[in-house]
Amino acid sequence: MPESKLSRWLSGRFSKRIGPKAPVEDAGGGYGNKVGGGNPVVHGALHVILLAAGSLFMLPLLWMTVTSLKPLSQTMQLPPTWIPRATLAVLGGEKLIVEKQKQLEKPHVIAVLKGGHDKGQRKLLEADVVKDGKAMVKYTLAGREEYEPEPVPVEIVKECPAGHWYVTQWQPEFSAEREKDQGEKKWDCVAESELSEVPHVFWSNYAGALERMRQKDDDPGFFSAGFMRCLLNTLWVCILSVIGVTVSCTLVAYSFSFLNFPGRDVLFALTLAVMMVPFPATMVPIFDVFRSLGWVGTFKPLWVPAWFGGAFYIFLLRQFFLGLPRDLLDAARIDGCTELEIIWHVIVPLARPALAMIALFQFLGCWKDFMGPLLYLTDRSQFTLSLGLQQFQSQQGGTPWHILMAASMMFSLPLIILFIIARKTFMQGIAMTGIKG
Amino acid sequence: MKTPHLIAALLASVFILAFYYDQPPRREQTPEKITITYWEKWTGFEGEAMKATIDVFNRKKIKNKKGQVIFCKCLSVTQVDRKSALAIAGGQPPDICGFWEFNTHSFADMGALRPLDDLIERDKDKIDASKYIPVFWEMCKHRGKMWCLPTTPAAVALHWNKDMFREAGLDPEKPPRSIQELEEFAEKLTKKDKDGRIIQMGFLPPEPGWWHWSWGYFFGGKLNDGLEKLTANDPKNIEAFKWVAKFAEKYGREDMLAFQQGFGSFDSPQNAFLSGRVAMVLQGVWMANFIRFHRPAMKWGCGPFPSNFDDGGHPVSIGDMDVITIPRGAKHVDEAWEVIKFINSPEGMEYLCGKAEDPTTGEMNNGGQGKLTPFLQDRPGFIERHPHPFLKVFIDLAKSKNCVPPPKVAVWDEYQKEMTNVFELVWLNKMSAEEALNAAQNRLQPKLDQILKIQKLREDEWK
Amino acid sequence: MPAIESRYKGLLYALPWIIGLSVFTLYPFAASVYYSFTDFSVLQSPRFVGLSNFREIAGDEVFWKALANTFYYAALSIPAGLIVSLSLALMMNAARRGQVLYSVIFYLPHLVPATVTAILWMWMYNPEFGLLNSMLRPFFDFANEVRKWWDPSVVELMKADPKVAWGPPAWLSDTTWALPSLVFMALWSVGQNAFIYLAKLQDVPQEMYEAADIDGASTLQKIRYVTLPMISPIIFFNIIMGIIGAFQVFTEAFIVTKGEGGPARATTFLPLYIWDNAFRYFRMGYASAMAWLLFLIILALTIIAFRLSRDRVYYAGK
Repeated sequence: MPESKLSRWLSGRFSKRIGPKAPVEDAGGGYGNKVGGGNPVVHGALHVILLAAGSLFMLPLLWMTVTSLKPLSQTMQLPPTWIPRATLAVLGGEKLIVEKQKQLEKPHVIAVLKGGHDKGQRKLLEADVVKDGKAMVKYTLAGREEYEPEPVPVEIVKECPAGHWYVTQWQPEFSAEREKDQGEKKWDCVAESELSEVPHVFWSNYAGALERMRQKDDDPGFFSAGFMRCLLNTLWVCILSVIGVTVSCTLVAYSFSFLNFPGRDVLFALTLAVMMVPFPATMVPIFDVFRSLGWVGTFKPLWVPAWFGGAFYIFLLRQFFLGLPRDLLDAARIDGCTELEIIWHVIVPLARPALAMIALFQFLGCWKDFMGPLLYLTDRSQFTLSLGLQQFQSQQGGTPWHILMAASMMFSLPLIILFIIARKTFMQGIAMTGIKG
Repeated sequence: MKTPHLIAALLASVFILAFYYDQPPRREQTPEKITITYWEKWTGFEGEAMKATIDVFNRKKIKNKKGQVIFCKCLSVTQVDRKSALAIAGGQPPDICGFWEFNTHSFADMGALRPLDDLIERDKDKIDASKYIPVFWEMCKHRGKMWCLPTTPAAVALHWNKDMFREAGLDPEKPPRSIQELEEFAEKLTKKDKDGRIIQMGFLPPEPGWWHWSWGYFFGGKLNDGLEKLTANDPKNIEAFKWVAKFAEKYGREDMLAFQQGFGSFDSPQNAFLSGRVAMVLQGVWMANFIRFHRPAMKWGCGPFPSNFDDGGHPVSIGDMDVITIPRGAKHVDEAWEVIKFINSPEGMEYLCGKAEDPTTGEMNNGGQGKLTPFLQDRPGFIERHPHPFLKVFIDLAKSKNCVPPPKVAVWDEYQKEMTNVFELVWLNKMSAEEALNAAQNRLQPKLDQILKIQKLREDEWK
Repeated sequence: MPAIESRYKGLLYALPWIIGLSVFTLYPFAASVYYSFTDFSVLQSPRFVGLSNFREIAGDEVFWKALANTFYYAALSIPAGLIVSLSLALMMNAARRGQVLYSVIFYLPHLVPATVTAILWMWMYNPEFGLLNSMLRPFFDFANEVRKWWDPSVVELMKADPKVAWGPPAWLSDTTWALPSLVFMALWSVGQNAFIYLAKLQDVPQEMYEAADIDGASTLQKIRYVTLPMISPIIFFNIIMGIIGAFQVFTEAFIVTKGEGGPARATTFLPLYIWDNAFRYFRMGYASAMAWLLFLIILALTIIAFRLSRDRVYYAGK
């Protein structure tokens, strides 16, 4: 019991934040006077410039959001639109959302095939292809289109002059298999005047991104592959490394700040020096170390090192610890607390903001990391979000931008939410990062 | 126990548990079934054909020595060479890698592949050099060892548009046989509009421009003399590139550049050959697939690409091949070998390369990858069923003693890039053929010497 | 536990870091020195080859191209980053209000993972449908109209060859623009530095400004003679970090070019080339040699920066 009493006493006395202060939220009077003077015109102008710069900074994010809510055909529309819209047309007596596929440059006809592989189907054919009621038509074979060996008899059901739009029924983005189950999409050719547009938000792109990031040869199951799998992997690595880094850095920084041991100052100087070493310089031997440990192909290289401390965090925490009142520690020692108890009952409560900050920064770094996963994760079922997204992008080339943007949004959003929740901790952390200067 | 100690114990157990559970993903393995992985380079219809062939293998339920049924999981992997290299370096490779033949030499030199000699020796009644077209078997060899076996081979030939020949007053059944004839035909097949802009060409050396290193071979030159000596500036090579320069001079570099702007991508109906803009191209056996996909009505022919020397009816061609390998460090070598063996059996290979019957279900496939097989003798009916109308041309070309595989020199990757560079320098008249080739020779020979020096140093490990 | 001497306790608590430092940093660092004098493919044991790797580097055009690119990138991105972040910080500091809003606006891009940044900007830079070019196109169209009016002979030329008309660049697929495009992309995430500066700006004692006011200093003079000297240590620190960062740029270039550093090697940075040699060609020895040169360059630049800063950076208390 004595230690819990002590801690209550401590937290009562020192609940106020200790450490460098965050940038002042709203300086009202004081700070602002420094440079600009009190001139309201100058302030107004500054805000205008800042807001203009701010909108430039926001533009890409806004564009990402808007693109992620558009249907595919609208991402390829010129000039680009800022409001996602649905195009409506009447297909087979029903008013449906459609995708504009292409505007016909030549006169076309819609014809029903009277023979060949796709007998009975409707096809859109160039008008001059049909000769004497017959036409060369394509059919699909193993995912590729091939021509029928012979012209096929056709019956023309509709004439479509140039300028008409070829439209297909819009369907939510799903994986190839799901698409097959959905059956044939409705389609038609209609005049521009028959199309109408209404603002419409395509949330389904997000569901599409969840599905499309998996591949045909991936294992089935919602969490076994694709976005959700990557998310779980990322969380696993991030959480483990955040726990590791907070725990180990607290211990080490405590030792650096309050305990004496031979070689301490040399070790600390080394700690500072290694921050200068660029990663490429040690990339090869580190890979070799992990390889000989048999850790390649596991998550270990991504989280185990965190349990052995990080130079920058140790440095930050040491700075912070040294600012704590020394007499509290001595008091605790006199009370007979062991070092672990001192850390838990004295240091941790006092250093909460600093610990929160390193946890936050480690989480951020881990979530964003690309090179590490690229080096060490070989199997697709292990990919983290950044690697999964990059793979998806490089496989698809540049076409499904709406899906790519939706996936990117889902990848970035947790960090943005985290920032909004923990903005003060972030700002404190940034202010602290500058201590070194 | 006190709180901090409890927490310390808790954290320690989190670490230990996480450490213990964090293992490389294991493929399913039961006493009845063993799963192995195969990374395949193709992603399009060729990848589908490979997957279909692996499906046949899986349906055959071949067992390993322990009596487990082998199940092969075939994954299409983009940038397979990059990803395999990383996985092999990390000691976590797939069991099988499908590469291009030109990857294998550098991978073998890096020590990244497992030689197949002992396995071939074990199954020599099924896999034997005598069954293969020599050029393809040779392509699998490097520095005395076998590193891979073929999946689908290819050779290149002259493809010509018969309608364009007819229109130009040429006999559509008589392609050019010599470089001189090629020039004559090309001239007749070239058309300009009234403003002097090129609207059609008989032949255009940079279309498609995938084998710029090979021009010398059609003039009797060669790029290397053994593995240690490069011969980029061989007089015959210089002759070939002089011809290239002459060609560029004749039709006008700017004019041709403007003409080329109108070409669409290779796999589209706007491809220069498919759209009837260029009448003759040097292309591989796969071209027939794309003609079938995009312009089935086109009248075309194919035959040996002309050369400027007569070697008693041995036409010149370039060998090219997709291969299958076992990376160094693969966990299931014997099972991987079963897959490779199946693909290199007549039933597997025919199913992969052409129209053939699935031995397990009896169903016909739709033409596979549409290429030739690496075998000297195909089973009866294969060539007749095959979707390629001129398959025999390619088989004969592959069998010709002048069918050249890409040289196996250790700097090949760079050598090839350098030759493309030489072509561009000469084509754009930035350098004479002689200067450009001499520069290439002088740049690459020292590089090769350096690599050979290191290889000598490691001679003992190689054995 | 009185039995344990406190000196050993200290070692015990620092043990994780002692292990971490030696296994994950010091050993690799030393090993990379050794590897740079060997031929090493990871799959076989290293063989000592003396200075051969360094001799090869001397004649390797791609290395020099990559080095030049890296310097070019650093020379563009460090000053640009400094100017943008410092001016944002100065303005935010002077603007008094709205710092919550600005912190969200300017910091958010920094939060976006590099993978997303790269993909998002590929979309922004898309020559046909990208936002950037569709915003720029009207300006170019206007310029072309002016050109036609000025010199009617270009009208025919433009018809014959669309390339004659001016148009926005193809950004990432244009050899000239690819690298500056990456710099611009990096500028977008410069928010973090702006807030480091802002925090420092708010630590500048009010009295100094008051003293400057008494001397009749103008706003610009105050910035020049009070603000900048006071925050010069952090500026200097950020420049050093900027150098280290610029010489390590990898992820964005890797994703944008699919690892190829294209077009025509225009974005092959040194880390990318080191990566290729190590993990694509298995030339780990050669890669280590280059990595070491990279480290020495960073070290040299840092020392130069220290030397230059000696008279320009103000440290309180000196």
